[in-house]
Amino acid sequence: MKEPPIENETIVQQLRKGDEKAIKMLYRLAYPECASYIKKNSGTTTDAEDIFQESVMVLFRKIKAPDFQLSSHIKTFLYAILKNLWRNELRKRTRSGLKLTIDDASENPFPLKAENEVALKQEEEKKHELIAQTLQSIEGNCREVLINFYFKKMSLKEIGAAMGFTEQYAKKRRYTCMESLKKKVKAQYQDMA
Amino acid sequence: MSKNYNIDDIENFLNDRMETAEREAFSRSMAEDPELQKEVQWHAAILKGIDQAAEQDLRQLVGKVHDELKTDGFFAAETTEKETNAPIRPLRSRRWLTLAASLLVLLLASWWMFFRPLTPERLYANHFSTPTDVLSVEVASRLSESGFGTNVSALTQLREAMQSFQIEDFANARSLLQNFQLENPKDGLIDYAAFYEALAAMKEGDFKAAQPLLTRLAGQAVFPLQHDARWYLALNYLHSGDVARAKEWLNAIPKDSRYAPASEQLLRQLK
Repeated sequence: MKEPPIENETIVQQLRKGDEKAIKMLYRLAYPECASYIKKNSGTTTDAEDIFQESVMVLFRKIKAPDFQLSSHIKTFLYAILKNLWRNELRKRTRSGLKLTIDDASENPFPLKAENEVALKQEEEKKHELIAQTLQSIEGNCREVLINFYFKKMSLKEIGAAMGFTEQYAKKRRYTCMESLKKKVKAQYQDMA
Repeated sequence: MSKNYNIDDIENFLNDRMETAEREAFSRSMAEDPELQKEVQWHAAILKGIDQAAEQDLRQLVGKVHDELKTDGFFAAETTEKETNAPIRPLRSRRWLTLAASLLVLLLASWWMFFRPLTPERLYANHFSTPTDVLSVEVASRLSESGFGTNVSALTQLREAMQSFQIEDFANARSLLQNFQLENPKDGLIDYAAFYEALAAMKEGDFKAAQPLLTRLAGQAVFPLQHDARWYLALNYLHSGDVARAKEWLNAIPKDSRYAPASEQLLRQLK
């Protein structure tokens, strides 16, 4: 398979910044083959679109890690993620089909621990969801400053340039925004207690 | 809270960016100052919340790109089968449903879940994170220096194994890592392969299979990831409910190891 002439590093950098054009390019590069794989393996067009979007989200999470190293072309990497997600989805669908044949789930000696772990994970996710929602409600450009600094890993200089600040002001905003978010989240938890 | 530490210090601690002495001092302060400890926990939760908010933005952006491409007829060329005429926005609708459900449960559950007692299972879930992939770096450096006598196919197999590990296809990673060990028993990377095989087994829920592998590596002084092996072995026993053994392995982590603060914290929590 001949890979298109595109630099991995460039597209990874653009994706890290959440560049819309890079996402579009990813679709044009990888979607046709990915859709064809899903349709050849018991999937529909809807499945292909859905799983492809999920794969792009997994790719975002992977490239965000500071020690991330792409050992193949980005298209191949995304294709591998998609294949894995689709295999898991098919397994899940098969399992949920099998579940109907179990007469008494309480006799199953195995799921207790796994269910507990899933519940713990879900609880953690809910906690982070609440913080994410509080972030929506803080004033001014705090959301953008914090996301640019902590998620996109932009330097204070880059943030300043992108948002029309000086580096010094970006530094100050990062501190004040973090303090303000923390204060709001803590107050919210206390109100719920 | 101790006035000696600011946001930068807390973030340096959380992101493992402190020198050993600095990290030890910070861990000691945390042990003596419960307020500082609480502040660090809050900060870690906030950072994860920011990540989640950013992910939601990205998800919306991907949805937007998807919709634009749809309007442009990008997917029409791909559609060969007759399907529903309803507009396809699976992620968005799912997201709203998830958000609505989360909000309902959150109001009741958030407070107690944040501060409820720590069980071994919860401690395991809090402390386990997938280790950095150092094997791919080793493989890449070997391949770049490869010359006559380099076993390129074995290295390629390892690279594929770690790619599967990265995309969380742990079953495939495990099988490739096992093959590598069987076929190349004298290769210098064999211990790394065993380490990641053990981690892949744990990620698949096969804790028993990981124990002998990690026990061997945890006793191997020449293995660069020896402390990592001890840490994950302790977590493995913690998950299996064998708290005594978990403590033994946590105590076996030297004070200058990068796992020392986390193991000290876990030991305190297990008391």
